[in-house]
Amino acid sequence: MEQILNQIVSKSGNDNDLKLLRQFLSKNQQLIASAASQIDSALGMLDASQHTLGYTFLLWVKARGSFKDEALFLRQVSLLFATGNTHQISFVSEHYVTIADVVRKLYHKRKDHLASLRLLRTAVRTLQPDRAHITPVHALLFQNALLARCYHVPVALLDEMPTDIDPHGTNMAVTDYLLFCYYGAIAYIGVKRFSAALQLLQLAMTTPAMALSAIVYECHKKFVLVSLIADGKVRSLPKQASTIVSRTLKMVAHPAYSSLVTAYSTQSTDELHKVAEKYAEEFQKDHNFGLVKQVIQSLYERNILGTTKVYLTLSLADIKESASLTSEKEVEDRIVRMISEDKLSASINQTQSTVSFEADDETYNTVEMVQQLERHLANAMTMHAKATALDEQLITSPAYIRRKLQEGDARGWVAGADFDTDADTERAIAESMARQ
Amino acid sequence: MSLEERRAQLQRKVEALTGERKFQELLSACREFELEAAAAGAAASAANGPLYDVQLATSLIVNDLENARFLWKRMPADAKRNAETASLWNIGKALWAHKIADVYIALGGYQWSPPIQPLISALADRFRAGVLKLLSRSYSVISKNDCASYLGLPVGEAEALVVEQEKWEVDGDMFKPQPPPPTVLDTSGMQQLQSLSKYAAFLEQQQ
Repeated sequence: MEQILNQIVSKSGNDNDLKLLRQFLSKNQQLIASAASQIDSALGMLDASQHTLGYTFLLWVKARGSFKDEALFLRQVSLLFATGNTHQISFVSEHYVTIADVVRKLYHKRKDHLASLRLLRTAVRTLQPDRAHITPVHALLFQNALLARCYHVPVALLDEMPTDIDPHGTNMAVTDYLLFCYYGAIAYIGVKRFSAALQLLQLAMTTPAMALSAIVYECHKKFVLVSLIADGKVRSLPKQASTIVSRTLKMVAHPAYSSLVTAYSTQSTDELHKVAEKYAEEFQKDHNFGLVKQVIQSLYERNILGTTKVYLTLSLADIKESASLTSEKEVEDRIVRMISEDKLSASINQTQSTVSFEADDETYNTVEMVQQLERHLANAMTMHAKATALDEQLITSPAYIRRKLQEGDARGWVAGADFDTDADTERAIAESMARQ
Repeated sequence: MSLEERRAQLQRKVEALTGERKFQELLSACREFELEAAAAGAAASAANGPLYDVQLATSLIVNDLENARFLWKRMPADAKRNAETASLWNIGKALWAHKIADVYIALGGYQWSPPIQPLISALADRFRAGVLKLLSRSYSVISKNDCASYLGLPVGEAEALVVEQEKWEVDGDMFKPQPPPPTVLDTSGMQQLQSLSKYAAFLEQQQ
């Protein structure tokens, strides 16, 4: 153990040293595991911020074994998550993620999910090279947050809109990404941000795949329900979706969901109630019954909205009939509520008991409208900058250049005969890499 | 700093931020403390536990009803038994179900403690102002009684409020709401020019 400690302390400097250290530690993994009782004192002598790589590795060996003093373990983990050096962690990212998972499971066993959130969130921040990166710890954090019923934590992280993935530096795997999208969508559904949820669900379903994942299967069910609430119909998957995924989904989808979609399209709330009751057990099993209830409410609102497309003025009694509501008071209350949620623009006249749906009187020259436009423009500009950066990254990558040169003169890509041989090509690429 | 000291620090912040009307900031501070207290295993011990009342009240003020509902769901049973907390949640329930008359009843339904009272006043003011705006958008003609119950005021006071402040017309037994005046665009010189030039440059970009 002495020897290992010495190695860690001496080799926590530049990248080469770190690579060597990691190899050394992996080779001596058995040795460390057998000296488990000495790990705690070793950790005590290390500085988590300077010797992060070694600290992570030792803690990982400890976490994989069994340990009695949970409080001590959590203190050690807390030190790592709070003060660890992100760059060093990127060399041992899979070990770091395993430690985070052990933490998650520990709190899960105690049924005290809320207590884990702060720690896991710190873990995310330390693993992320920057806020735009998705990490496997996101999925762990989201899982515990949802179980703790603390939705504002995942929503805050989601609103940062991380889009970058680094499989090597953060140990991202496909399942981590799918879970990120799935749990993220559930968080958005909880705070009723349905279009944001739809985006995430769609991302999960269009992830390239060779087979249908259980996660995507669940995503699809929620996608159907949330689409009905948000759009009134279910969009078909975009072309990018793997054909295997879409075909398998069609085969294994439970009739409950397709019957619901069919019932919704009839615009009859009675039909919808019938289907919901018929398949209540299936929906309950999937934890989707709450969503189904919201689907039914959305049909009532959609029916009221339907009348606005046809009539300029309508009596409360007529709306009650056409939307199958129970009383005129209910119609009035629902309309006021829809106006407050900006879903409808109408004006009720109580003396005549009518509602007039004047054309949307938005003049588009208000302060709010200008601010909205500015927000959209700012978003578009950020997206443009991101896309350009990604484009540049691709164009200057060696793989792309190699490919382009191979396709060669037919495109008039390279003027002269300078790049006849492979050796020249390799040299050119090496030069451009050095210049970068 | 110990958990007790952090809690005392937060309580001092409550007064300051309430006075400055910075409710979103106060809500964030309460939420962070809830996570801290949970991590420290302070559990439901009221002495150094989260400030549930303040957190719930500020959630309602910023109209974050979904998170208010989840806060209530994850509160330990002891905290829910507290009369003030339960009364606060009555307001939340009425807001969530959009039962406007019930909101006023719930607002007045308890003798609020000193740190909570200013939050309740702020909530009541914002709520009533919001309802007034909603009424002028939703109704061309509304009966005096309905209007009064929407505003949680006796008919006489409601009439005084809408006629003098909002300039609504009166027609026998009914009010005729006027649409609210549009807010004036505030173009603040340099900043506006800067953002405009950014947009122009972006849009003029050649591929």
